[in-house]
Amino acid sequence: MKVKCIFIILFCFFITYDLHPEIFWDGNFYEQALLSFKGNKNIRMTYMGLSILDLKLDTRPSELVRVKSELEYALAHQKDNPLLVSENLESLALNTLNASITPEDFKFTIGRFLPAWGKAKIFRPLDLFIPQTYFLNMLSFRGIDGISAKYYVSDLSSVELLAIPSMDVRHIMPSIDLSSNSSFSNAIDHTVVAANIEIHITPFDNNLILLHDASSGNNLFGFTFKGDAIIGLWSELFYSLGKNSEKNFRASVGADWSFAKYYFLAIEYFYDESGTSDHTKYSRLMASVPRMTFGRQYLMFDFNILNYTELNFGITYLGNLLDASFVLFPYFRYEMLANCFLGLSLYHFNGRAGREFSPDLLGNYILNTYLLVRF
Amino acid sequence: MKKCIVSLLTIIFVSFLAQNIFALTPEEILNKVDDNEVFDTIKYSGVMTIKKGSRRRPRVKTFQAVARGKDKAYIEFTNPGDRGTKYLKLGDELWIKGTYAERADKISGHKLRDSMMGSDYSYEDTMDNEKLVDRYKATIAGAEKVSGHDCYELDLEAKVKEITYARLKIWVDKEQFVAMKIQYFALSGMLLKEMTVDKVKKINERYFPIKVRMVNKQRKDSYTLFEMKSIVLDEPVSESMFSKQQLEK
Repeated sequence: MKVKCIFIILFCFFITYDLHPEIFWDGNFYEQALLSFKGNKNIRMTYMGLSILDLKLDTRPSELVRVKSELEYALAHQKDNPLLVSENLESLALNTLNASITPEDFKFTIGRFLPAWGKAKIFRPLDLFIPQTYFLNMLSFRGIDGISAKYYVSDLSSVELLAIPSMDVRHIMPSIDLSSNSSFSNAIDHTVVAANIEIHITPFDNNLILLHDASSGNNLFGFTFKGDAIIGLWSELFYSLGKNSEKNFRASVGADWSFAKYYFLAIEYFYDESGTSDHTKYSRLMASVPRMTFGRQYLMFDFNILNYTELNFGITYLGNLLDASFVLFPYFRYEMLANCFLGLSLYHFNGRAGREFSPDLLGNYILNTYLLVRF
Repeated sequence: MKKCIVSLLTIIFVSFLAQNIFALTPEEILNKVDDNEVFDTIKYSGVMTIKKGSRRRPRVKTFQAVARGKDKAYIEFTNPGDRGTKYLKLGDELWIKGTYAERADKISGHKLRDSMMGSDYSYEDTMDNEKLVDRYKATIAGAEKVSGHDCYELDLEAKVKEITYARLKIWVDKEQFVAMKIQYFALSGMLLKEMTVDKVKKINERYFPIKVRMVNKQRKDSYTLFEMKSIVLDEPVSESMFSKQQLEK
């Protein structure tokens, strides 16, 4: 009911657009079709499709105040779609609705918003509020309900305090039961307070993150940096410990470089102490914890050709180093018309039975086609 | 008759002398160009029209820009599809906040030379405000007419190592001292880009190019038209414009 009311209010804003010069509407329409091919001789084809309509509202009643909102309508073309963040075929979600005020050197935000703390390219252990999608493109995410106060110490350094009265991560991983915290992932579904201290030391952005889950007693310490030392460099370090959970360390480190004017290379390594090096235990992890990876060590490699046109293409490798399975996907994106993009990628899964990227799970190949229209 | 010849020779000699005494050195010409085009602060609304290959309809991108000196620049895109995309440049460092991103992401320094928003300008090109005379050593190569303007033709060789374009060829209007045409060369001598000025406006006693066409010589039929409107030069700009707070607003 609440969502319907909000939708009606947003719709009224939309149709009276001309009366509100400081209201901006943007959005996008996204149509995705996945075709999975399984088997070597008797190829079985499965179709998974999804349509998403995103409406974004941005109002600036004054220089200091800003209200932002994002409403998402998603329609899966059939059940059991791994892309759908819901068990229903269709869903209407208010991803964000927040008000922020920015008096001198401060920013206060209240409502539903999306803190984005990760700095890495693919493996972001410190992106605690955003679902990790390693190889499937997603456009928008549901935020968390909370309050944030940020103080800008200087042009590039700041201190942010965050309070989330009742953090619920079910939308991040809807397939699992989060009635209790997981000893593997330290998932948090209680009142949470956090601090994110950003210190810029040329040429690096450095962040120190401290998070405390008041109910479970779990604590998290994080550190990130991103910057340049001839090549682009970044890293995320995650360490958590608590009364009822095992200590857990995760780290990702990466580098990128563009050379010879047309080529771009990125490489990223990820270590996750909570993962297992024994692939026979994957099913245990799958059943009990909210996680996107099961192994301990991963490598990502991306090669992109920059051709300064509407075309963008490259190839990405993502592999579990310990069970020797990987997914390799060439991708292609073309801007057909202004703000209208066609994307195509072909995921090739490779690995023995029971391994993380084994074709047993999602198929030998998945052809991912999408159309994105921004307006 | 003898008198006539002597008078003629005198006139020729005096005018030759005057030409040499009053002729500008290449550095003086560059200084005058810098005086016109290098600003303390600037605020403007920009329009980028990007034409690529055989595509009939060019892409149009609009934005608001603020810059101070050679080190600080802020750009916010306003056209549908890109609204909310913001760039902040401080020295050699660059941050971007995408339309849908909540985070201000630091762009690696090596990407400063990449195309900005699919245009023929790199991030560096759009935010460049450094004096030519500080970066290049100039020699006069001749004189030529460009778009109806009498111009000095100068060859510029880089005198610093860390520079995107190793050599420039530049045509400077003899009256207004505006660089009417610039050719950008790689270290190998390959012509990369060519910039021509379509429109010049007199602002605060200086001549400022407000409509510029950049042609990518590496691609067929590719150009970007860069137009500046509502230009305000050398007026105070709040320091807070060049901060992460502005990006995250």
